[in-house]
Amino acid sequence: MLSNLNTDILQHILHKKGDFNTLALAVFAYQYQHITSYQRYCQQLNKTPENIRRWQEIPAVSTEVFRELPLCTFPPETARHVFQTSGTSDEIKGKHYYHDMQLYDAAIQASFMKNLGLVLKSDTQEIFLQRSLFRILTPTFQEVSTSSLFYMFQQVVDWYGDAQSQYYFNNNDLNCEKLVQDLLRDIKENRPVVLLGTAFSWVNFFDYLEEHSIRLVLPESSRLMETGGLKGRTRTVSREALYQLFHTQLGLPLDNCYSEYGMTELSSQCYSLPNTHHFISPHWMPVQIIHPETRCEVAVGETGLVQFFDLANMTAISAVLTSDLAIKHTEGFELIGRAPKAILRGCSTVFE
Amino acid sequence: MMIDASSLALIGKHWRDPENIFRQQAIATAASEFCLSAPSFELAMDWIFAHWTEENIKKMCVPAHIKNKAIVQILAGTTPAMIAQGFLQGALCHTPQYLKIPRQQTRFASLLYQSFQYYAPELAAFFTLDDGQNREAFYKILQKAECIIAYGQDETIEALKQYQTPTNQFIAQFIAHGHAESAAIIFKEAANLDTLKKLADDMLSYDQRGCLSPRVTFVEAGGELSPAECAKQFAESVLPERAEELPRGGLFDGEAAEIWHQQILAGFRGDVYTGKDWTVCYSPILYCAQSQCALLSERTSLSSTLPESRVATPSKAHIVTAHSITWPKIALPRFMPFQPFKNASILLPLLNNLISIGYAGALENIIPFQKVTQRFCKIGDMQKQCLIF
Repeated sequence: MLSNLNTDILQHILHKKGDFNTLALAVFAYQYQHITSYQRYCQQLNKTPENIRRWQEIPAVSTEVFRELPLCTFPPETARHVFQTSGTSDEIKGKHYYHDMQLYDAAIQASFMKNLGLVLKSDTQEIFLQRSLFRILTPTFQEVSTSSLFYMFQQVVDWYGDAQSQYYFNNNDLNCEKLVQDLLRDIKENRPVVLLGTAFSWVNFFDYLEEHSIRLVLPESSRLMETGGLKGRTRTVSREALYQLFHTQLGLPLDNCYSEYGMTELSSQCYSLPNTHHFISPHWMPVQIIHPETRCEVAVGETGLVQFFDLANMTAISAVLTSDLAIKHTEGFELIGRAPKAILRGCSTVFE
Repeated sequence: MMIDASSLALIGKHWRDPENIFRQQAIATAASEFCLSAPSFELAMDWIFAHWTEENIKKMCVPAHIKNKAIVQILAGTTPAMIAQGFLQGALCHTPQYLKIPRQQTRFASLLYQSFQYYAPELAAFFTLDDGQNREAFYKILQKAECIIAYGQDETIEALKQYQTPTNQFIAQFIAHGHAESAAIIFKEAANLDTLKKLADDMLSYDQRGCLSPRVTFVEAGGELSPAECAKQFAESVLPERAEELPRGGLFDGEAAEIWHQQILAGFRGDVYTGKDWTVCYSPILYCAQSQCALLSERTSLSSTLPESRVATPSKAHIVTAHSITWPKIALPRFMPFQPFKNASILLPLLNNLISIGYAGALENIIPFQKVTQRFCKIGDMQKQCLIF
């Protein structure tokens, strides 16, 4: 069953073959059968493979549960990779166990280059542009092997990267000087680059550029991808302000700047539409924006919690409820941040 | 003191009277300030003012260290009890009282103040109410105060601490009451439906937002109802009816999302039961983090930033009392985890530093817990706090 289902999902991810609902129900049945704690939880809710007909009815699991229990269809000790959520050292981290990376890799292959506009589409096939020159503002996966993001960057560079692609984060520090040096050379040689980094790293890099009064105009067709929170070491910027900096400091048209939204608990990623902050989820990972009180999907323009059903999460839990709030748009959704943590309230409130 | 007691008792009597205009207005307009429903707020008025009797008030005496001092009380409170207590204590002090009330909770304080003006103008004259909008003026008053009593979240204390600089110190005694938590314990001889009915009142009356609200209920195994059955019965036989009579008020930011996440988590840990506006869960193992007085050292350092000569004054200035704890992690409205225990001694380290423990069962069972809590009382009386100074 496992290999058949795995193949069907691969076909769906890569070639849109098969019916999503059918696959989702099969995945749920598989997870229900193999993850005892999930099975017990679903039974409490009286939601079982026997009585569920639509993928939207499949019980979602909070990202909080990933912090507490190993949620996988195989013995966790046999995992090939264990990705962990970031956070402070004393925080309990959420973990995602992977037995193999086939679906994870497929999800990257089916979305990354396409969403960064690096794929040419013909009527019959998609053709990757020439190998790209990646400049990456994060540590390597070898350095931080618990990061799903760094794994993705590693795979992307392996599959699509030019030999001169490089990482610029060493010894807990972003090597801005070297990055500037290399970008100046790229500019001089008029070689388009693909810049990848966390929003945090971009804020740091722009601080450096400002400090040294440097402005760059990257070669035409260059791309940039940012991901993650917007809190920099020295300041916090809004997404709009950050994108303005992409334009003013790097000379990038906003159409060439992309935002990625992913998380450890998921195996697939969402990307923003060009020049918007609206994220689109891939066809194998539909999103629902759900009102936390009514637990119903919100209407366009309303805010709710983001919930996914990720087929590529086949060996974990596919229905994942996040703590992120988003506005539902006609096309995609717009993240507005984490749902505020409910604070401890006794006979006291915050002094104002 | 005699006159004060009778005046204060009179005010209490009027606030207990369902026909009283101040009470009626408060129920109609101020319940939402505390995110409480009108029936819950009404019950709160009954319980708060039940103790405002001449006999009770006469027993109260002003502590020596705040006698005859100009006092600033910072009343940040999610329950009206704290605000009422601030007025009561302030009136007994017979000194100018500057009451800083939360900006979003001015209605109840104003009505209570008006009732003082109406029934006991001589006591009302001691009070100045302010919502602290004019921050500069407020801090000037703090500078001049001889005693600052702050009821507030840890952020409150932090905000005051931030304000102090080497050249800008409060001269006052600083009495800080931080965030506090309570728990309920059901011993096996009382693990029955009757106890659960009483527990429902403790849980629902302030939507579990009060310091004295039980955050978690520990149940001893071996009674008429097992710990798991207690949770089930509480959810299925007790809460639906009582919660209908005392519906939950509104939710603060983030609470709906957090409740949802915690319900899912609880479903993985054990059993979870949900109603229209409440959650009960049962986990077979203890999930509480050990309690700790997290900010006690912070608080102490607040006073230690003051010049040594002031700290060492014979009047024991700069008393710092802290009840701040980080336990349990779940602190949501109408969210009651049940947890089992076999030997009460294992609870002792968990319950350290709680402000209050409600219990059901034989008195001797609770005696060891006197060491770890400031107050213990019967389940059902957790919110009915006696007057204290």
